[in-house]
Amino acid sequence: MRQKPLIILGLIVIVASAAYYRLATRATTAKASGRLEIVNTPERYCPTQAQIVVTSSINQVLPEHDQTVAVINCRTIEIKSLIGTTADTKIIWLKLPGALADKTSIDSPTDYFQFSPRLGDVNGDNVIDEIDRRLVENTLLSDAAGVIKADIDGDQKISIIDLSLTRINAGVGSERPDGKNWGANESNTLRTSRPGYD
Amino acid sequence: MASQRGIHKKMNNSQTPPTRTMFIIVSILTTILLVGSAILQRIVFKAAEPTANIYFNQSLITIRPGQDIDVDIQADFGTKTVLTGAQLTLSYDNQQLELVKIIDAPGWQTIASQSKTDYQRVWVMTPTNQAGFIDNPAAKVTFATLRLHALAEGSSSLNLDPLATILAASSPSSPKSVDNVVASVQDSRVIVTASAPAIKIDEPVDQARIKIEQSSPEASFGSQRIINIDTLPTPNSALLLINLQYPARVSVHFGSTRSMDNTARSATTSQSSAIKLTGLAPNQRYYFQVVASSIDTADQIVSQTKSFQTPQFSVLPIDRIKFVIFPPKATNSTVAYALFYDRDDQIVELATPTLATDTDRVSISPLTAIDGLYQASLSNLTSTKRMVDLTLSLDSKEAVNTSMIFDPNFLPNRPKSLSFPLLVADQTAVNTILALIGLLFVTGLGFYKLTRAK
Repeated sequence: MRQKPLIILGLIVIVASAAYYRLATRATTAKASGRLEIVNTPERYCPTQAQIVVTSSINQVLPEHDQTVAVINCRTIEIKSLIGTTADTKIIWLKLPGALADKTSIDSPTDYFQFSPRLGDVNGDNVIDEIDRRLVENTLLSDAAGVIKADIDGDQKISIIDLSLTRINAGVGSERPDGKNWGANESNTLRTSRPGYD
Repeated sequence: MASQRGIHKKMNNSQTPPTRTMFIIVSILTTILLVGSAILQRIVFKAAEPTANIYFNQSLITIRPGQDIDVDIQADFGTKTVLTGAQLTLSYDNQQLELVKIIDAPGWQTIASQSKTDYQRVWVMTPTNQAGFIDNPAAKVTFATLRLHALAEGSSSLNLDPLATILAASSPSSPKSVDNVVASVQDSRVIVTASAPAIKIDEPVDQARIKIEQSSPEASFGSQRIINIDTLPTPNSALLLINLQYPARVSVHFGSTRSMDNTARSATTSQSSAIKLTGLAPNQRYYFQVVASSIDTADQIVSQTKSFQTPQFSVLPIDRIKFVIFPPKATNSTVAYALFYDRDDQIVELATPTLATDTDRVSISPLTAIDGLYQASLSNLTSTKRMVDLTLSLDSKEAVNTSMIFDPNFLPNRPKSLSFPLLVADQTAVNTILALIGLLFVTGLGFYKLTRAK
C-alpha cells in the first residue's frame, strides 16, 4: 500500500519525460518524422519537385514508388508515404532539378535523413560536364530571366557561383535502377528562387 | 497506546527515507535522461566559414596626367578554403582615369567581361589549372592587374562594389557547396596631379565630414550605436573590430591625413564587423571614421574620428601579447586574432604560436600569419550552447587565456521600433518553460504524496 504513491509518482515522471522529450525535440521531431532534408545547398536554391524511385535492398524497383514528389519549403521531402511503414531497408534514388541523381539508404520511415545534392546539371542530362559549363559561361553576367536553368543557385543572376558549381561538382549522377532515363530537359518550373533571401 | 503510537511513528520513519531517496533518484535520473536525449537529438556538425578581404595593393595612388600605372587586385584568406573563381565589379571616375586593360595574374584567366556603364566594369575570372579550382590558396592571392591611364588632374577613387564582388569558394568540409566568401572590400584613392609623384597629401578637411564630427556622433538612426571599436594595427595593414547595437552595413573612411580619402566596406550586414585596412605604411599615424548604414543606407551613424599608429616589424623578444576573439559570442563560428609585441610595442612576426581549447567539440583551423597578424577560425561542432576556454601558447608554454561563448540560439539585436512589444520566445525557450512547469508539477505532486504517506 505504501508503494502506491511511489508507483503513481513514477508513472507521472515517465509521462512528463515523454511529454518533455516530444516538446524539446519538436523542431527536430518535425525533421525526424519520416522526412528527407536537402542540405548543403545555396540559400536561394529552391527545387519544387523531385523525381524519386524507391527500390528494395535487393535493388528491385517498387513500381508504385516511381514518381515525382513535391519538395516542401524548398528543403524537405516526405518519405513516409514513399516507403511505407515497414522498417526494412529501402534505397531512395533521387533526382533534384539542376543536380545529379544520387541514392540514399533509408532504414526507417520515421527517422530523419539528409541529402546533399551535387548541383550544376544545367541541361538535366544527369551529367555535369563541359556542356553545362558552357551553358553557364555563355550567359554569365546576365539576369536569370529566360535562362533560369543556368541560375543554379537561384539568386536571379548568372554569376561565378553558378559557374563554380559546374566546375567542382563535375561528374556523372547515378543511373536509374531500372535503366530508364531520368528524363532530360527538366522543366524550368521544377525550380524557382527561394523567397526571403534578398 | 502511547508506546503503540511511538512504534507506529518509528515504522513510518523507517520507511520514509527510502521513499524520499527513491523519489530523488528517480527525479535526478529523469532529468539526466531528459537533458541527455535533448542534447543528442540536437547534435549537428557545422563547417567553418571561410572569409576573405579584397583590396588594391596601393591604397593611395599618385600619378601625373598622361601617365600609366598598374594596380593589383588582391585578397587575403584567413582560413583554409577551395577557391573556385572571382567576379569583380570595378568603378572609377572615367573623366579622370581610363582603364586601359585588365591583365590576368598568373594562374588566372578572364572568361567574361562586361562594361555596365562608362565607369563600371565587371568581369569573371577562373583559375587556369586543370582542376578549375585552387585548393587552400596562399594567404594573399593576386587576381589581376589594372592598367590605368590618367586623363585629367583631380582626385577620385577606385572602388570594388561590395555587393557585386564575389569570391567563390567552398570549404573543405562542405566540398559540394559554393559560397561568396567576401567579408569586406577596400577602395584605393587616386590623385592625378602634375606634381606627382612627390606629393604630400594634406588636403583640407572635408567640410561635410567636419559637420558630421561636430554634430552629436553615434546618434543618428533609431537607437543604433557603435558599441566599441578595437584596432589591431600591423606594419602594413590594420584590422578594425566593430561592435554595433544592431546589424548594419559598415564602412570605414581612413587615411594618413584627416581628410581620410580611402574607404573600406563590409560586404554583409552584421552586428559585428571585421574590416581590414590595407596598403598602410609602417610607423605612420592613420585616421579613421566608422560609418554604420541601415540596410537601405538611408540612415547612417558616424563615429568620432579616431586614429592609430602602425608599428614596425621587430626581431626583439616578445614582451606583450594581444589576443582577441571576435565576435566573443557567436552562433557557430568566430575568429581568434593574436598580435605579438616587443617592449617598444613593435610587431614580432617570428613567433610560432599554437591555439588550443578545453573541448574537442570545437574545431580550430591552424594559426596563419598575414602581415604579423595571426588568426584562426573556430567552429562549434555541435548545436549546443557552450563556453570555450582558449589558450594561446608560445614554444609549448601557456602564454595567454581567454574565453568565448558559442550559442546556436544567439540572435542579433533588432531595433526596438521593429520588434513586437510582447515577449518573443523561440521554440527552445517555450520547450524549456513547459518542461520546467512539468517538472515543478511532478515534484510538487511527489512531495504532496510523501506528506500524505507520512
